[in-house]
Amino acid sequence: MKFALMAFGLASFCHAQIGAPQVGLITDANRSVRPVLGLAGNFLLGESLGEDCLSSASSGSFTLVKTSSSVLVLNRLGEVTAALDVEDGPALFAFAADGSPALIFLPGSSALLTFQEGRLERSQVDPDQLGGKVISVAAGGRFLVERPDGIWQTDLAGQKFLAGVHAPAILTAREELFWIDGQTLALRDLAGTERRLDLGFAGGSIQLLGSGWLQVNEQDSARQFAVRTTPQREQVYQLPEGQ
Amino acid sequence: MLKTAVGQSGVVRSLCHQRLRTPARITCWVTNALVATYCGEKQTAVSGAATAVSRMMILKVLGAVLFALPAFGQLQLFQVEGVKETPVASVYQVPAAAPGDSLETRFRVRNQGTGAIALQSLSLSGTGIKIVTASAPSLPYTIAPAAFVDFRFVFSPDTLGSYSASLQVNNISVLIRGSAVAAVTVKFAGSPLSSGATADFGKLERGVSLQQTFSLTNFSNAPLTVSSIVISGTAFQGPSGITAPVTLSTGQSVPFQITFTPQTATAFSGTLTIDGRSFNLTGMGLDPPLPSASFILDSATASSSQQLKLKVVLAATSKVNGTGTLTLEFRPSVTTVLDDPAIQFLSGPKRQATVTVVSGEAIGRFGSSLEMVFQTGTTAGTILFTLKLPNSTVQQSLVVAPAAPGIDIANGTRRVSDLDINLTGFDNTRSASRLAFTFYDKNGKVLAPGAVTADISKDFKSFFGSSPAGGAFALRATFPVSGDPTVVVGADVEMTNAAGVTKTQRITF
Repeated sequence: MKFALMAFGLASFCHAQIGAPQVGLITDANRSVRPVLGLAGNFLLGESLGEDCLSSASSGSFTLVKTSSSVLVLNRLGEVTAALDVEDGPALFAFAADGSPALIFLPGSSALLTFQEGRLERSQVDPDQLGGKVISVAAGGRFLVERPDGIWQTDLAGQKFLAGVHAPAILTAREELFWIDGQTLALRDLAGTERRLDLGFAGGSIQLLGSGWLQVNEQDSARQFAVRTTPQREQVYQLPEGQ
Repeated sequence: MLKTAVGQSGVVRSLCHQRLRTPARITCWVTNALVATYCGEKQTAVSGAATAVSRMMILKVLGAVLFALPAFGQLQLFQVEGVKETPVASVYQVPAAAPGDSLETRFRVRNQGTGAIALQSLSLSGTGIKIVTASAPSLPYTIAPAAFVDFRFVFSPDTLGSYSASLQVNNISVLIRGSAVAAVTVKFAGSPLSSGATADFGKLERGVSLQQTFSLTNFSNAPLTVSSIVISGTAFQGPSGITAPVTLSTGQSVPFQITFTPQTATAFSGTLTIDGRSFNLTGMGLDPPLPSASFILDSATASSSQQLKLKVVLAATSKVNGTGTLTLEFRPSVTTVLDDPAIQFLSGPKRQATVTVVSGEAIGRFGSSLEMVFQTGTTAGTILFTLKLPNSTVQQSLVVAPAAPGIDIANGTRRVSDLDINLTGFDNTRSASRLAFTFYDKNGKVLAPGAVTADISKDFKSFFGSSPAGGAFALRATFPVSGDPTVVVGADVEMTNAAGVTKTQRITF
């Protein structure tokens, strides 16, 4: 055996490496960005990090926020690490497989922001080529597009029809596909294996919340839910309203 | 004197005569001076027909009156029934009563003038009729313009016959007349009921009926015939068990019933009238109380880091709408902990919720939801729910027992020269004391030096002392590795606290 564990290293890490668990960040009903502390079944909303949030998504490691005038990249501590002034309106977000920011799509202008070397670079997407309403964007330049006949996945390599998929839906860097079907959250992995999870409420919108977590908002309601998507551990939890 | 006082002006006199034509007005206006005051006020309405001379004469009269009386009040007497005021003339006839009855009448002395006036005298002389002392104001009593004071008198004949008394209110004189007639004795709840007295049916849940028995008894020496028995009032029905006319022989008694059925939660009144003698009927309708409530939790036992549902169920379908307040209180069993902020309701305020009870339902509502979700937190202790309803309070406690550390996530990451082990979990005793790591090779063989342990008491104590997340923690253990870290393919972690030891499933790298 040519390795040895350094026990003295253990004694030194413990002090520095214990912290409050954090799932990710959400936009609450008051359009404030707030950290979701705790763990499954025991959530706490932290103090607001900022307001005027139109949409957001979190990988757990990073959070992308769209305000009425800018796009912000927040690290795990809620610190802004990159920002770009953009037009008003919501945005769609994508993270790389390691949780780092990847893409921001602005549906209002069909602008695509790419996160590279800590900066946001702006480019333009031809909406005619997409041929429909973009409902999700994923790392690698993949889009979910809603057309009259259903949901299509398009990228540089081509496009494919996603049978049985409905909006709202999101696609992840690992090509996991999530969509809401009434009171059910459907999950389809890269291999095409599909799982369905009863939400217990009518889902209205869906967003990435953290590693292995989705945020699902109830339709016509202020209630927000955290859904664990880890295989074999799928579970729906209600998030505190934080009043 | 009236005509003399104002006779210098035909126009004014004419006005005054018009006002004074009603006998009741004449009776109740206290003095001529007051009439002159009235005329003086009206003087401005007199146009060119009134000469300067007449104006001067009126002013002279007015001046004389002003000199004689410091205030220009004018009293008028009314009989009051509920909110209705009826002017009283020089003679007032009280309703007929039977010997033994006590018939009360309310009079009102109202100041109709523009100046305050002192009520100097209030007296009633005669037999069988007297002022209710407690109702009379202390004299002198000043009555402001447009104000009034009430008093009552009672007619209590003890034998058959006619009665009269003289009422004096300052300069107002009224002859009060009454007559005592032979009549049956009315009994309610076994006791004689005087005319004008009240039979109170008490408080009753709305929609429910209560029947009370009355009786008529002839205590006279001759037969008596009751010609009519009439019940008025929306909540009172009857009489039943008797039909008028009915003749009672000496000593005979006849029962009958009146039913009180309040349809709303309010006070009701009515009248029982027997041959002109009136008896008041009263009763109060009440909302039925909310049924008793209890809690249903979707788990009889609780552990940390759970989201549970609570329902409020009623013992019966509620007949009324109502609201209650549900509060959540947490009493930690960990001595160093004051609270756990994660223990909260997940909708609305963190530890208080309004429970709405809807008529026709047997379950409480939280807004539109039939249940409330709450979290059990990550601290051992007792969660106490208290529901306060208008007429009851119910409590239920839920114990979260001390437990060995809970590990929600355990994973490992291999880096170039380090191994990271990540643990996310909770310690609901805040007493984490020891971590032990055991590493394995691809054959499942324990790698030297065997279990690597660390005393983590101080680190966790320091962390929990300032953490905003209760007993929840995220721990990253980094192991520098000398050699090829790919040899390490798995690890077990044991975590110990005061309640026990938790061992993770095999962590793979």
